[in-house]
Amino acid sequence: MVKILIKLSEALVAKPTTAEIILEHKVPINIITAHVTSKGGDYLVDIPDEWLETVVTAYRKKGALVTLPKLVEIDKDKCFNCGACVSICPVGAITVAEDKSVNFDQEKCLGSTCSACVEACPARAIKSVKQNNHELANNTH
Amino acid sequence: MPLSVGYLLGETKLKTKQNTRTIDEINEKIRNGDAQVLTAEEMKRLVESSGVEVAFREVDVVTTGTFGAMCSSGAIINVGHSDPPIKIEKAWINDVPICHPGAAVDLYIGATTMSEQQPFEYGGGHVIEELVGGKEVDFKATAYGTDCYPRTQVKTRLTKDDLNQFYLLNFRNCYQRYNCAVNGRDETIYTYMGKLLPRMRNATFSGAGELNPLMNDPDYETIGLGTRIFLGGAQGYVIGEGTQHDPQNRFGTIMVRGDAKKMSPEFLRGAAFTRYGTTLYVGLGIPIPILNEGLAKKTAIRDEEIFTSVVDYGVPRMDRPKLGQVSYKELKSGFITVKDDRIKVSSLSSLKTARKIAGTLKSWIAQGEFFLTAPVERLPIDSVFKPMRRTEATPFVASVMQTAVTCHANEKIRTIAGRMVTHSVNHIIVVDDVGKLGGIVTSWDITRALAEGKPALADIMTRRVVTAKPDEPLEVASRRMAQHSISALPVIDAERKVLGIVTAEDVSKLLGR
Repeated sequence: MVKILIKLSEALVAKPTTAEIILEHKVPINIITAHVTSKGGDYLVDIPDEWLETVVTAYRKKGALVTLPKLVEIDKDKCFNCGACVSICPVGAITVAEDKSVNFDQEKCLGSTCSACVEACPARAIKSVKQNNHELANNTH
Repeated sequence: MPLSVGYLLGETKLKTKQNTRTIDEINEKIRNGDAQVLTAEEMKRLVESSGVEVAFREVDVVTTGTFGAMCSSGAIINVGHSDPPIKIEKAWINDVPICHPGAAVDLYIGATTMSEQQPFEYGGGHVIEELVGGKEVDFKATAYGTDCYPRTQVKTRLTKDDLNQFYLLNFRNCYQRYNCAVNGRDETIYTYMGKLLPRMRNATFSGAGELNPLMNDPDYETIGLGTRIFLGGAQGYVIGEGTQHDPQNRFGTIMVRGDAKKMSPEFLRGAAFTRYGTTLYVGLGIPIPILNEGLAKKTAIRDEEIFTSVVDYGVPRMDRPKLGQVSYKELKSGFITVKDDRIKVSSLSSLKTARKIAGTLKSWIAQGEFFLTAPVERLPIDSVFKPMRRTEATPFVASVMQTAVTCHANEKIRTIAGRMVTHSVNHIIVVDDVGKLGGIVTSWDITRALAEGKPALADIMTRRVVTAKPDEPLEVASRRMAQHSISALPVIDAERKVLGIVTAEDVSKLLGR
């Protein structure tokens, strides 16, 4: 699965843009978070790898801005496994293992749309890291 | 007579030999490589499977450990004399102000003192970690100059090897147990217990529970001035009770000292709590000599037997409301239940590192590198932790609040504008028929309504109103106004009925700001 960020303009949120893409291309789009007002919308969606190109092209064709979200990364050298981040995470991406290590599941993480853990880390071991958008562009040309 | 006394003494001695062991005997075993050492977690399993008697017979020492944020920590350094010499008045390391409580070049790095360039992100705790890790730091100092110490400023770079003394000297460490924190407010708060989400959506706790050093010897039979311990990765000492030592409530603390030059940054880490400040994570472990069966039993204490209170940090008072009791077993499980709500809980201290400390101390003793000491003076078991003496009354919201000028939601803006002028106020509170808070409208809102041609009060009033309670300290209300950049708070009761209004103007008259 790949997470992508979709930015819809005022005109695009006025129409059922995402529904149109799903119906037209028969693609499984899983909306994880959505912040939508009459002025526009930001969606974080999960797409199976094989559908990435179709979905990105379809959204771009309609005029939406498609980017990769920033990823949250834990610097294992800085982390001292306190676990302050665990109860802050809204999706259970951070857990405590049997040996009391703090584990991070990149797949579950909402990335830059959340980042709640970043400021909760006393070790300042958690950073929001920009992904290389070239990869997304190359894949979908 | 002499015969019978001798006989009695002999019998006592024989009995003593069976039911107790001494620290000297344990040290002899350590020297011979025969000492039986278990970590506190291993000891609990042994007592559970084989009983106290067997555990006492077989185990000489139980090792403990904890690794958490300990704000009352710091380090004494002596930086040596410059030529010409300086009697330091102010000093900084990596832009962190350093205390100068003593003579010319004796300084104290406080863990919570924050950098002037990067406050809240870098502080004394980080300076200590960097020095311990062998890094070079920037040092500068200023002075007023005297005949004997003429220099008025100095700048240099230092590593720990350049320091004459570098001693960790922590005046309160190793809390026996600590509160579990939640936040009952409607907004996220940032505390020394970490980030607390609104409406009790998360909880945090600190402490190692059954691995905690003082919890394994709760009557301080073996801990006191002179007890040799694991401190920051090296050998250190307990030098007495810590500040705020509260033994009767099982909130004991210790004061410790150790040679920081020998310590390791793995067990001394600078840390930053967002919007609270910087601190130092300290690794500390105490070996508990199993001198009698009683101690064998005490070191078998389990997480499910150690309870602490769930405290609402949303109430910024000395006595914060306690919402219930939870055990360390629940805390370590990741979820606690408070008033039927299941709440996700985070540890702020590292159990993984606490285990490593207990394990490291165990191997030091087993390898004959660490010997036990008997305390010269035990920790007090009867001290009382008092609040600050009060000589001036604390002002409360009720003491400055004024009668609120109110209106109803269906009134015309023109009427409300007139009322503002009549009463010469800038805030009018919107209430319903029974006097409950509905909103607030300011003179600025009225101006905007005029400029933008909005005729209805409903279009301009603020509905999500920041409020105050009459029994809140004025300082708290004042901080809330500053945080929301507003100049007045309606004062309401539990039913949201409006009791009055407190304005920034009233506050500044009383608090002088």
